[in-house]
Amino acid sequence: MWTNGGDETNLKTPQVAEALQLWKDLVADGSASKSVVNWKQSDVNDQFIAGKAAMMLNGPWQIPSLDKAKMDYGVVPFPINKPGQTSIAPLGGEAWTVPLTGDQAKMAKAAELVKCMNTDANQLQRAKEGGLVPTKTAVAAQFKQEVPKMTGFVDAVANTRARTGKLGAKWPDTAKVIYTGMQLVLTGQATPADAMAKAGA
Amino acid sequence: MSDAEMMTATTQTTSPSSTTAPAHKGRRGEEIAKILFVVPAALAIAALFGYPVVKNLVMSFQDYGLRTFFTGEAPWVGLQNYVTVVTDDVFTKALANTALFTIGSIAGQFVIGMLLALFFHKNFPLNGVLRALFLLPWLIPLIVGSAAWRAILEQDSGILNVTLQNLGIIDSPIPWLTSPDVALIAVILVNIWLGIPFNMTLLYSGLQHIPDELYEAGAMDGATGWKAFWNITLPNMRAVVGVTLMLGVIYTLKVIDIILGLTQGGPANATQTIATQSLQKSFVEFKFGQGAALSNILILISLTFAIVYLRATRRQADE
Repeated sequence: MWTNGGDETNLKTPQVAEALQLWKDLVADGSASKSVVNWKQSDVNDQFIAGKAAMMLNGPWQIPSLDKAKMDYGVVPFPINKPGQTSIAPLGGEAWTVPLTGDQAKMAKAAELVKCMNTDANQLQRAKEGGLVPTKTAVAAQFKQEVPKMTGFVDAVANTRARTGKLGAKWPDTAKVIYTGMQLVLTGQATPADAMAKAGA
Repeated sequence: MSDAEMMTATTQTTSPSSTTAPAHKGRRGEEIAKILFVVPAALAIAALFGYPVVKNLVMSFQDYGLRTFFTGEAPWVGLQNYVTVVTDDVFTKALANTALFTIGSIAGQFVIGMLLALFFHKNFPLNGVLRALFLLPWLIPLIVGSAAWRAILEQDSGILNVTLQNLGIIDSPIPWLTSPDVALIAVILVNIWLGIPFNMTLLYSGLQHIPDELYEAGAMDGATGWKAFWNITLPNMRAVVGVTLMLGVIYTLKVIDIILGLTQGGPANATQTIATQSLQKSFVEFKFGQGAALSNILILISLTFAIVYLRATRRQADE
Protein backbone atom coordinates (compact mmCIF):
# COMPACT_ATOMS: atom_id res chain seq x y z
CA MET A 1 0.00 0.00 0.00
CA TRP A 2 2.73 2.46 0.97
CA THR A 3 5.04 1.44 -1.87
CA ASN A 4 2.16 2.04 -4.28
CA GLY A 5 1.54 5.54 -2.92
CA GLY A 6 -1.39 4.67 -0.65
CA ASP A 7 -1.78 6.30 2.72
CA GLU A 8 -3.34 5.28 6.02
CA THR A 9 -5.05 8.66 6.41
CA ASN A 10 -7.22 7.98 3.36
CA LEU A 11 -7.86 4.34 2.57
CA LYS A 12 -10.44 4.93 -0.14
CA THR A 13 -7.93 5.54 -2.92
CA PRO A 14 -7.06 3.61 -6.11
CA GLN A 15 -3.54 3.08 -4.75
CA VAL A 16 -4.91 1.18 -1.75
CA ALA A 17 -7.37 -0.73 -3.95
CA GLU A 18 -4.46 -1.84 -6.18
CA ALA A 19 -2.62 -3.15 -3.13
CA LEU A 20 -5.71 -5.16 -2.16
CA GLN A 21 -5.97 -6.43 -5.75
CA LEU A 22 -2.39 -7.69 -5.50
CA TRP A 23 -3.28 -9.81 -2.47
CA LYS A 24 -6.47 -11.04 -4.11
CA ASP A 25 -4.48 -12.13 -7.18
CA LEU A 26 -1.77 -13.81 -5.11
CA VAL A 27 -4.37 -15.93 -3.32
CA ALA A 28 -6.54 -16.50 -6.42
CA ASP A 29 -3.72 -17.92 -8.54
CA GLY A 30 -2.42 -20.06 -5.70
CA SER A 31 0.80 -18.13 -5.10
CA ALA A 32 -0.37 -17.63 -1.53
CA SER A 33 -2.41 -20.16 0.45
CA LYS A 34 -6.11 -19.43 0.95
CA SER A 35 -5.41 -19.84 4.65
CA VAL A 36 -3.40 -16.61 4.81
CA VAL A 37 -6.63 -14.91 5.82
CA ASN A 38 -6.25 -16.48 9.28
CA TRP A 39 -2.50 -16.57 9.56
CA LYS A 40 -0.43 -14.71 12.08
CA GLN A 41 3.24 -13.82 11.50
CA SER A 42 4.35 -16.93 13.33
CA ASP A 43 2.03 -19.11 11.20
CA VAL A 44 3.63 -17.81 8.01
CA ASN A 45 7.02 -18.51 9.52
CA ASP A 46 5.96 -22.06 10.42
CA GLN A 47 4.75 -22.69 6.86
CA PHE A 48 8.05 -21.40 5.51
CA ILE A 49 10.09 -23.60 7.85
CA ALA A 50 7.86 -26.57 6.99
CA GLY A 51 8.76 -26.05 3.34
CA LYS A 52 5.14 -25.31 2.35
CA ALA A 53 5.75 -21.70 1.42
CA ALA A 54 8.65 -20.77 -0.86
CA MET A 55 8.66 -17.11 0.20
CA MET A 56 7.27 -15.14 3.05
CA LEU A 57 6.74 -11.53 3.94
CA ASN A 58 8.03 -11.19 7.45
CA GLY A 59 10.25 -9.32 9.85
CA PRO A 60 13.85 -9.87 10.95
CA TRP A 61 12.68 -10.99 14.39
CA GLN A 62 11.87 -14.36 12.79
CA ILE A 63 15.51 -14.90 11.87
CA PRO A 64 16.53 -16.53 15.18
CA SER A 65 13.86 -19.21 14.63
CA LEU A 66 14.92 -19.72 10.99
CA ASP A 67 18.54 -20.20 12.05
CA LYS A 68 17.48 -22.57 14.78
CA ALA A 69 15.66 -24.66 12.16
CA LYS A 70 18.87 -24.57 10.03
CA MET A 71 17.05 -23.00 7.09
CA ASP A 72 18.91 -21.93 3.95
CA TYR A 73 17.38 -18.61 2.97
CA GLY A 74 18.01 -15.14 1.62
CA VAL A 75 16.44 -11.74 2.26
CA VAL A 76 15.23 -9.36 -0.46
CA PRO A 77 13.42 -6.03 -0.19
CA PHE A 78 9.70 -5.64 -1.02
CA PRO A 79 9.17 -5.53 -4.78
CA ILE A 80 7.69 -2.38 -6.33
CA ASN A 81 4.58 -2.07 -8.51
CA LYS A 82 5.64 0.53 -11.09
CA PRO A 83 9.09 1.77 -12.14
CA GLY A 84 10.23 4.75 -10.12
CA GLN A 85 8.50 3.70 -6.90
CA THR A 86 10.45 3.21 -3.68
CA SER A 87 9.94 0.06 -1.68
CA ILE A 88 8.54 1.13 1.67
CA ALA A 89 8.34 -1.31 4.57
CA PRO A 90 6.61 -0.80 7.90
CA LEU A 91 8.93 -0.05 10.80
CA GLY A 92 7.95 -2.10 13.79
CA GLY A 93 9.56 -3.21 16.99
CA GLU A 94 9.88 -1.27 20.17
CA ALA A 95 9.07 2.37 20.68
CA TRP A 96 10.60 3.74 23.83
CA THR A 97 8.09 5.88 25.65
CA VAL A 98 8.22 7.97 28.78
CA PRO A 99 4.62 8.62 29.78
CA LEU A 100 3.72 12.10 30.95
CA THR A 101 2.74 11.28 34.51
CA GLY A 102 3.58 14.62 36.13
CA ASP A 103 6.12 13.00 38.44
CA GLN A 104 9.27 14.79 37.23
CA ALA A 105 11.74 12.71 39.24
CA LYS A 106 10.38 9.41 37.99
CA MET A 107 10.17 10.69 34.42
CA ALA A 108 13.82 11.76 34.58
CA LYS A 109 14.81 8.30 35.79
CA ALA A 110 12.79 6.68 33.00
CA ALA A 111 14.48 8.93 30.44
CA GLU A 112 17.84 7.82 31.80
CA LEU A 113 16.88 4.19 31.23
CA VAL A 114 15.76 4.92 27.67
CA LYS A 115 19.05 6.70 27.06
CA CYS A 116 21.01 3.76 28.43
CA MET A 117 19.14 1.22 26.33
CA ASN A 118 19.91 3.28 23.23
CA THR A 119 23.65 3.75 23.53
CA ASP A 120 25.50 2.52 20.45
CA ALA A 121 26.79 -0.57 22.23
CA ASN A 122 23.39 -1.53 23.61
CA GLN A 123 21.54 -1.01 20.32
CA LEU A 124 24.08 -3.20 18.57
CA GLN A 125 23.84 -5.96 21.13
CA ARG A 126 20.06 -5.97 21.24
CA ALA A 127 19.97 -6.06 17.44
CA LYS A 128 22.21 -9.11 17.32
CA GLU A 129 20.30 -11.02 19.95
CA GLY A 130 16.77 -10.16 18.92
CA GLY A 131 17.04 -10.10 15.12
CA LEU A 132 16.40 -6.35 15.08
CA VAL A 133 17.81 -3.45 13.08
CA PRO A 134 19.48 -0.57 14.99
CA THR A 135 17.77 2.74 14.31
CA LYS A 136 20.99 4.74 14.49
CA THR A 137 22.38 4.76 10.95
CA ALA A 138 26.02 4.57 12.02
CA VAL A 139 25.31 1.60 14.27
CA ALA A 140 23.21 0.03 11.49
CA ALA A 141 26.18 0.21 9.11
CA GLN A 142 28.41 -1.51 11.62
CA PHE A 143 25.67 -4.10 12.26
CA LYS A 144 25.45 -4.82 8.51
CA GLN A 145 29.16 -5.56 8.42
CA GLU A 146 29.00 -7.84 11.41
CA VAL A 147 25.79 -9.65 10.41
CA PRO A 148 25.75 -9.66 6.58
CA LYS A 149 22.53 -11.65 6.20
CA MET A 150 20.63 -8.73 7.70
CA THR A 151 21.68 -6.48 4.82
CA GLY A 152 18.27 -6.64 3.13
CA PHE A 153 16.57 -5.44 6.29
CA VAL A 154 19.15 -2.80 7.18
CA ASP A 155 18.91 -1.27 3.70
CA ALA A 156 15.12 -1.26 3.87
CA VAL A 157 15.09 0.68 7.13
CA ALA A 158 16.22 3.85 5.34
CA ASN A 159 12.80 4.02 3.65
CA THR A 160 10.58 2.54 6.34
CA ARG A 161 7.58 4.22 7.86
CA ALA A 162 6.19 3.81 11.35
CA ARG A 163 2.53 2.81 11.40
CA THR A 164 1.88 5.24 14.21
CA GLY A 165 3.83 8.02 12.48
CA LYS A 166 0.76 9.86 11.21
CA LEU A 167 -2.05 8.41 13.29
CA GLY A 168 -0.41 7.98 16.68
CA ALA A 169 -2.80 6.40 19.17
CA LYS A 170 -5.48 6.14 16.47
CA TRP A 171 -3.48 3.49 14.60
CA PRO A 172 -5.30 0.48 16.12
CA ASP A 173 -8.63 1.77 14.73
CA THR A 174 -7.17 2.11 11.24
CA ALA A 175 -5.35 -1.20 11.53
CA LYS A 176 -8.71 -2.84 12.21
CA VAL A 177 -10.18 -1.27 9.08
CA ILE A 178 -7.19 -2.40 7.01
CA TYR A 179 -7.19 -6.03 8.15
CA THR A 180 -10.97 -6.27 7.96
CA GLY A 181 -10.82 -4.83 4.43
CA MET A 182 -8.15 -7.36 3.45
CA GLN A 183 -10.20 -10.21 4.89
CA LEU A 184 -13.31 -9.02 3.05
CA VAL A 185 -11.37 -9.05 -0.22
CA LEU A 186 -9.69 -12.41 0.40
CA THR A 187 -12.99 -14.05 1.31
CA GLY A 188 -14.75 -12.57 -1.70
CA GLN A 189 -17.17 -10.42 0.30
CA ALA A 190 -16.01 -7.15 -1.21
CA THR A 191 -14.15 -5.94 -4.27
CA PRO A 192 -10.77 -4.26 -3.75
CA ALA A 193 -12.41 -0.95 -4.68
CA ASP A 194 -15.13 -0.96 -2.02
CA ALA A 195 -13.50 -3.13 0.68
CA MET A 196 -12.10 -0.33 2.81
CA ALA A 197 -15.39 1.57 2.80
CA LYS A 198 -17.20 -1.62 3.74
CA ALA A 199 -14.69 -2.20 6.54
CA GLY A 200 -15.50 1.20 8.00
CA ALA A 201 -12.92 3.55 6.45
CA MET B 1 -50.75 -27.67 69.77
CA SER B 2 -50.45 -24.65 67.50
CA ASP B 3 -47.17 -22.98 66.67
CA ALA B 4 -48.00 -19.99 68.84
CA GLU B 5 -48.70 -22.14 71.89
CA MET B 6 -45.51 -24.09 71.35
CA MET B 7 -43.52 -20.88 71.21
CA THR B 8 -45.03 -19.61 74.46
CA ALA B 9 -44.29 -22.89 76.10
CA THR B 10 -40.72 -22.83 74.98
CA THR B 11 -40.24 -19.27 76.13
CA GLN B 12 -41.66 -20.13 79.49
CA THR B 13 -39.39 -23.08 80.04
CA THR B 14 -36.25 -21.28 78.95
CA SER B 15 -36.94 -17.92 80.54
CA PRO B 16 -35.60 -18.77 84.00
CA SER B 17 -32.19 -19.79 82.71
CA SER B 18 -31.91 -16.91 80.24
CA THR B 19 -32.12 -14.38 83.07
CA THR B 20 -28.87 -15.62 84.53
CA ALA B 21 -25.86 -13.62 83.33
CA PRO B 22 -23.40 -16.34 82.16
CA ALA B 23 -25.92 -18.05 79.90
CA HIS B 24 -26.85 -14.71 78.37
CA LYS B 25 -23.24 -13.94 77.67
CA GLY B 26 -22.79 -17.36 76.14
CA ARG B 27 -25.62 -16.78 73.71
CA ARG B 28 -24.22 -13.44 72.64
CA GLY B 29 -20.83 -15.08 72.15
CA GLU B 30 -22.54 -17.62 69.99
CA GLU B 31 -24.03 -14.85 67.88
CA ILE B 32 -20.61 -13.24 67.45
CA ALA B 33 -19.10 -16.58 66.56
CA LYS B 34 -21.80 -17.07 63.93
CA ILE B 35 -20.94 -13.72 62.39
CA LEU B 36 -17.23 -14.46 62.53
CA PHE B 37 -17.81 -17.67 60.62
CA VAL B 38 -19.59 -15.79 57.87
CA VAL B 39 -17.11 -12.91 57.62
CA PRO B 40 -14.29 -14.69 55.70
CA ALA B 41 -16.70 -15.99 53.08
CA ALA B 42 -18.40 -12.61 52.80
CA LEU B 43 -15.04 -10.87 52.39
CA ALA B 44 -13.94 -13.36 49.75
CA ILE B 45 -17.18 -12.90 47.81
CA ALA B 46 -16.97 -9.13 48.09
CA ALA B 47 -13.35 -9.07 46.90
CA LEU B 48 -13.50 -11.72 44.20
CA PHE B 49 -17.07 -11.32 42.89
CA GLY B 50 -18.46 -8.06 44.19
CA TYR B 51 -15.55 -5.81 43.33
CA PRO B 52 -15.05 -6.96 39.71
CA VAL B 53 -18.77 -6.79 38.97
CA VAL B 54 -19.18 -3.33 40.47
CA LYS B 55 -15.93 -2.08 38.92
CA ASN B 56 -17.01 -3.43 35.54
CA LEU B 57 -20.35 -1.68 35.87
CA VAL B 58 -18.70 1.61 36.83
CA MET B 59 -16.13 1.32 34.02
CA SER B 60 -18.86 0.85 31.45
CA PHE B 61 -20.05 4.40 32.17
CA GLN B 62 -16.54 5.89 31.92
CA ASP B 63 -14.17 6.84 29.15
CA TYR B 64 -11.62 4.33 30.41
CA GLY B 65 -8.59 3.98 28.14
CA LEU B 66 -4.84 3.42 28.22
CA ARG B 67 -4.40 7.02 29.32
CA THR B 68 -6.34 6.26 32.49
CA PHE B 69 -3.49 4.10 33.75
CA PHE B 70 -1.14 7.07 33.76
CA THR B 71 -3.42 9.96 34.62
CA GLY B 72 -5.97 8.13 36.73
CA GLU B 73 -8.65 10.11 34.91
CA ALA B 74 -11.71 8.32 33.57
CA PRO B 75 -14.40 10.89 32.78
CA TRP B 76 -18.05 9.91 33.07
CA VAL B 77 -19.71 9.50 29.71
CA GLY B 78 -23.10 8.18 30.77
CA LEU B 79 -24.52 5.67 28.33
CA GLN B 80 -22.12 6.65 25.53
CA ASN B 81 -20.16 3.37 25.70
CA TYR B 82 -23.35 1.33 25.38
CA VAL B 83 -24.55 3.44 22.45
CA THR B 84 -21.16 3.08 20.73
CA VAL B 85 -20.92 -0.70 21.06
CA VAL B 86 -24.56 -1.36 20.18
CA THR B 87 -24.45 0.84 17.06
CA ASP B 88 -21.12 -0.70 16.01
CA ASP B 89 -21.38 -2.45 12.62
CA VAL B 90 -20.17 -5.71 14.09
CA PHE B 91 -22.59 -5.78 17.05
CA THR B 92 -25.62 -7.24 15.27
CA LYS B 93 -23.44 -9.86 13.66
CA ALA B 94 -21.74 -10.67 16.96
CA LEU B 95 -25.11 -10.97 18.68
CA ALA B 96 -26.46 -13.28 15.97
CA ASN B 97 -23.23 -15.30 16.07
CA THR B 98 -23.45 -15.59 19.85
CA ALA B 99 -27.00 -16.95 19.51
CA LEU B 100 -26.10 -19.37 16.69
CA PHE B 101 -22.93 -20.48 18.46
CA THR B 102 -24.77 -21.13 21.72
CA ILE B 103 -27.83 -22.84 20.24
CA GLY B 104 -25.76 -24.91 17.79
CA SER B 105 -23.21 -25.96 20.40
CA ILE B 106 -25.76 -26.84 23.07
CA ALA B 107 -28.02 -28.74 20.67
CA GLY B 108 -25.11 -30.81 19.35
CA GLN B 109 -23.46 -31.37 22.73
CA PHE B 110 -26.72 -32.33 24.39
CA VAL B 111 -28.02 -34.74 21.74
CA ILE B 112 -24.68 -36.51 21.28
CA GLY B 113 -24.01 -36.44 25.05
CA MET B 114 -27.44 -37.97 25.72
CA LEU B 115 -26.96 -40.69 23.09
CA LEU B 116 -23.56 -41.58 24.54
CA ALA B 117 -24.95 -41.55 28.10
CA LEU B 118 -27.71 -43.96 27.04
CA PHE B 119 -25.12 -46.10 25.26
CA PHE B 120 -22.84 -46.30 28.29
CA HIS B 121 -25.80 -46.97 30.58
CA LYS B 122 -25.92 -50.46 29.14
CA ASN B 123 -23.48 -52.96 30.56
CA PHE B 124 -20.78 -54.13 28.20
CA PRO B 125 -17.06 -54.95 28.41
CA LEU B 126 -14.63 -51.98 28.48
CA ASN B 127 -17.52 -49.64 29.33
CA GLY B 128 -15.48 -47.83 31.98
CA VAL B 129 -12.35 -47.51 29.83
CA LEU B 130 -14.26 -46.11 26.87
CA ARG B 131 -16.18 -43.69 29.09
CA ALA B 132 -12.90 -42.44 30.54
CA LEU B 133 -11.48 -41.95 27.04
CA PHE B 134 -14.49 -39.83 26.11
CA LEU B 135 -13.48 -37.43 28.88
CA LEU B 136 -10.22 -36.56 27.12
CA PRO B 137 -11.46 -33.45 25.28
CA TRP B 138 -12.48 -32.05 28.64
CA LEU B 139 -9.07 -32.78 30.16
CA ILE B 140 -6.74 -31.08 27.69
CA PRO B 141 -6.31 -27.29 27.90
CA LEU B 142 -8.65 -25.42 25.55
CA ILE B 143 -5.85 -23.59 23.80
CA VAL B 144 -4.05 -26.86 23.10
CA GLY B 145 -7.26 -28.43 21.81
CA SER B 146 -8.05 -25.53 19.54
CA ALA B 147 -4.48 -25.39 18.21
CA ALA B 148 -4.74 -29.07 17.30
CA TRP B 149 -8.09 -28.48 15.60
CA ARG B 150 -6.65 -25.54 13.70
CA ALA B 151 -4.04 -27.87 12.25
CA ILE B 152 -6.68 -30.53 11.51
CA LEU B 153 -8.96 -28.03 9.76
CA GLU B 154 -6.21 -26.34 7.76
CA GLN B 155 -7.51 -25.91 4.24
CA ASP B 156 -4.65 -27.19 2.10
CA SER B 157 -2.73 -29.58 4.30
CA GLY B 158 -5.07 -30.27 7.23
CA ILE B 159 -5.70 -33.95 7.91
CA LEU B 160 -9.49 -33.62 7.67
CA ASN B 161 -9.54 -32.25 4.12
CA VAL B 162 -6.79 -34.62 3.01
CA THR B 163 -8.71 -37.60 4.40
CA LEU B 164 -12.04 -36.52 2.91
CA GLN B 165 -10.38 -35.96 -0.46
CA ASN B 166 -8.59 -39.31 -0.42
CA LEU B 167 -11.84 -41.06 0.42
CA GLY B 168 -13.44 -39.30 -2.52
CA ILE B 169 -16.10 -37.64 -0.37
CA ILE B 170 -15.18 -34.13 -1.50
CA ASP B 171 -13.55 -32.92 -4.72
CA SER B 172 -11.97 -29.70 -3.51
CA PRO B 173 -10.79 -28.85 0.02
CA ILE B 174 -13.41 -27.30 2.31
CA PRO B 175 -12.29 -23.88 3.58
CA TRP B 176 -13.20 -24.76 7.18
CA LEU B 177 -11.69 -21.73 8.88
CA THR B 178 -11.02 -19.46 5.93
CA SER B 179 -14.49 -18.97 4.47
CA PRO B 180 -16.93 -16.67 6.25
CA ASP B 181 -19.74 -19.09 5.34
CA VAL B 182 -18.13 -22.14 6.92
CA ALA B 183 -16.00 -20.77 9.77
CA LEU B 184 -18.83 -20.43 12.30
CA ILE B 185 -19.97 -23.98 11.59
CA ALA B 186 -16.40 -25.26 12.05
CA VAL B 187 -16.06 -23.39 15.34
CA ILE B 188 -19.40 -24.80 16.55
CA LEU B 189 -18.33 -28.33 15.59
CA VAL B 190 -15.13 -28.01 17.61
CA ASN B 191 -17.07 -26.63 20.57
CA ILE B 192 -19.50 -29.55 20.35
CA TRP B 193 -16.55 -31.96 20.43
CA LEU B 194 -15.34 -30.16 23.52
CA GLY B 195 -18.67 -30.13 25.35
CA ILE B 196 -19.71 -33.74 24.76
CA PRO B 197 -17.86 -35.15 27.82
CA PHE B 198 -19.47 -32.59 30.13
CA ASN B 199 -22.98 -33.37 28.87
CA MET B 200 -22.37 -37.11 28.75
CA THR B 201 -21.04 -37.27 32.31
CA LEU B 202 -23.86 -35.27 33.86
CA LEU B 203 -26.58 -37.09 31.91
CA TYR B 204 -24.99 -40.47 32.65
CA SER B 205 -25.10 -39.77 36.38
CA GLY B 206 -28.74 -38.75 35.98
CA LEU B 207 -29.55 -42.02 34.22
CA GLN B 208 -28.06 -44.02 37.07
CA HIS B 209 -30.52 -42.53 39.53
CA ILE B 210 -33.58 -43.84 37.70
CA PRO B 211 -34.71 -47.02 39.49
CA ASP B 212 -34.80 -50.14 37.29
CA GLU B 213 -38.25 -51.00 38.66
CA LEU B 214 -39.72 -48.13 36.64
CA TYR B 215 -38.47 -49.71 33.43
CA GLU B 216 -39.64 -53.16 34.52
CA ALA B 217 -43.11 -51.83 35.29
CA GLY B 218 -43.09 -49.86 32.06
CA ALA B 219 -42.10 -52.91 30.05
CA MET B 220 -45.11 -54.78 31.39
CA ASP B 221 -47.34 -52.00 30.13
CA GLY B 222 -45.63 -52.15 26.76
CA ALA B 223 -43.34 -49.13 27.18
CA THR B 224 -40.01 -50.15 25.68
CA GLY B 225 -37.40 -48.49 23.51
CA TRP B 226 -38.37 -44.98 22.39
CA LYS B 227 -41.58 -45.04 24.47
CA ALA B 228 -39.65 -45.90 27.61
CA PHE B 229 -37.19 -43.09 26.90
CA TRP B 230 -39.95 -40.55 26.32
CA ASN B 231 -42.21 -41.57 29.22
CA ILE B 232 -39.77 -42.82 31.85
CA THR B 233 -36.23 -41.61 31.19
CA LEU B 234 -36.85 -37.99 30.23
CA PRO B 235 -39.42 -37.12 32.95
CA ASN B 236 -37.12 -38.58 35.60
CA MET B 237 -34.13 -36.67 34.25
CA ARG B 238 -35.84 -33.28 34.24
CA ALA B 239 -33.64 -31.81 36.97
CA VAL B 240 -30.37 -33.12 35.51
CA VAL B 241 -31.33 -32.01 32.00
CA GLY B 242 -32.17 -28.58 33.38
CA VAL B 243 -28.82 -28.21 35.13
CA THR B 244 -26.90 -29.51 32.12
CA LEU B 245 -28.58 -27.15 29.67
CA MET B 246 -28.36 -24.20 32.04
CA LEU B 247 -24.66 -24.61 32.80
CA GLY B 248 -24.05 -25.30 29.11
CA VAL B 249 -25.77 -22.12 27.97
CA ILE B 250 -24.03 -19.87 30.50
CA TYR B 251 -20.67 -21.47 29.76
CA THR B 252 -21.10 -21.32 25.98
CA LEU B 253 -22.27 -17.70 25.91
CA LYS B 254 -18.92 -16.57 27.23
CA VAL B 255 -16.66 -18.95 25.28
CA ILE B 256 -13.66 -17.09 24.00
CA ASP B 257 -10.59 -19.35 23.91
CA ILE B 258 -11.82 -21.73 21.22
CA ILE B 259 -12.74 -18.90 18.88
CA LEU B 260 -9.46 -17.10 19.54
CA GLY B 261 -7.51 -20.28 18.96
CA LEU B 262 -9.30 -21.18 15.75
CA THR B 263 -10.16 -17.97 13.91
CA GLN B 264 -9.49 -14.92 16.11
CA GLY B 265 -13.07 -13.89 15.33
CA GLY B 266 -12.37 -13.81 11.60
CA PRO B 267 -12.35 -14.17 8.69
CA ALA B 268 -13.96 -10.76 8.21
CA ASN B 269 -15.74 -10.98 11.60
CA ALA B 270 -17.53 -14.20 10.59
CA THR B 271 -16.96 -15.77 14.02
CA GLN B 272 -17.07 -12.63 16.15
CA THR B 273 -19.25 -13.03 19.25
CA ILE B 274 -20.14 -10.62 22.06
CA ALA B 275 -17.42 -12.25 24.17
CA THR B 276 -14.67 -11.92 21.54
CA GLN B 277 -15.81 -8.39 20.75
CA SER B 278 -15.50 -7.50 24.43
CA LEU B 279 -11.95 -8.85 24.50
CA GLN B 280 -11.15 -7.02 21.25
CA LYS B 281 -12.41 -3.71 22.60
CA SER B 282 -10.65 -4.03 25.95
CA PHE B 283 -7.33 -5.63 25.16
CA VAL B 284 -6.66 -4.94 21.48
CA GLU B 285 -8.16 -1.48 21.10
CA PHE B 286 -7.70 -0.59 24.80
CA LYS B 287 -11.19 0.89 25.04
CA PHE B 288 -11.88 -0.61 28.44
CA GLY B 289 -15.14 1.27 28.93
CA GLN B 290 -16.61 -0.17 25.75
CA GLY B 291 -15.27 -3.63 26.56
CA ALA B 292 -16.92 -3.41 29.98
CA ALA B 293 -20.21 -2.32 28.37
CA LEU B 294 -20.14 -5.37 26.09
CA SER B 295 -19.38 -7.75 28.94
CA ASN B 296 -22.21 -6.25 30.97
CA ILE B 297 -24.57 -6.93 28.08
CA LEU B 298 -23.27 -10.50 28.08
CA ILE B 299 -23.77 -10.81 31.84
CA LEU B 300 -27.33 -9.52 31.42
CA ILE B 301 -28.06 -12.21 28.82
CA SER B 302 -26.59 -14.94 31.06
CA LEU B 303 -28.52 -13.58 34.02
CA THR B 304 -31.79 -13.80 32.09
CA PHE B 305 -31.19 -17.50 31.48
CA ALA B 306 -30.16 -18.05 35.10
CA ILE B 307 -33.35 -16.40 36.38
CA VAL B 308 -35.55 -18.41 34.03
CA TYR B 309 -33.80 -21.54 35.23
CA LEU B 310 -34.12 -20.67 38.93
CA ARG B 311 -37.82 -19.90 38.49
CA ALA B 312 -38.39 -23.18 36.70
CA THR B 313 -36.62 -25.21 39.38
CA ARG B 314 -38.46 -23.39 42.16
CA ARG B 315 -41.75 -24.27 40.54
CA GLN B 316 -40.60 -27.87 40.34
CA ALA B 317 -39.70 -27.88 44.01
CA ASP B 318 -43.09 -26.37 44.89
CA GLU B 319 -44.88 -29.09 42.97
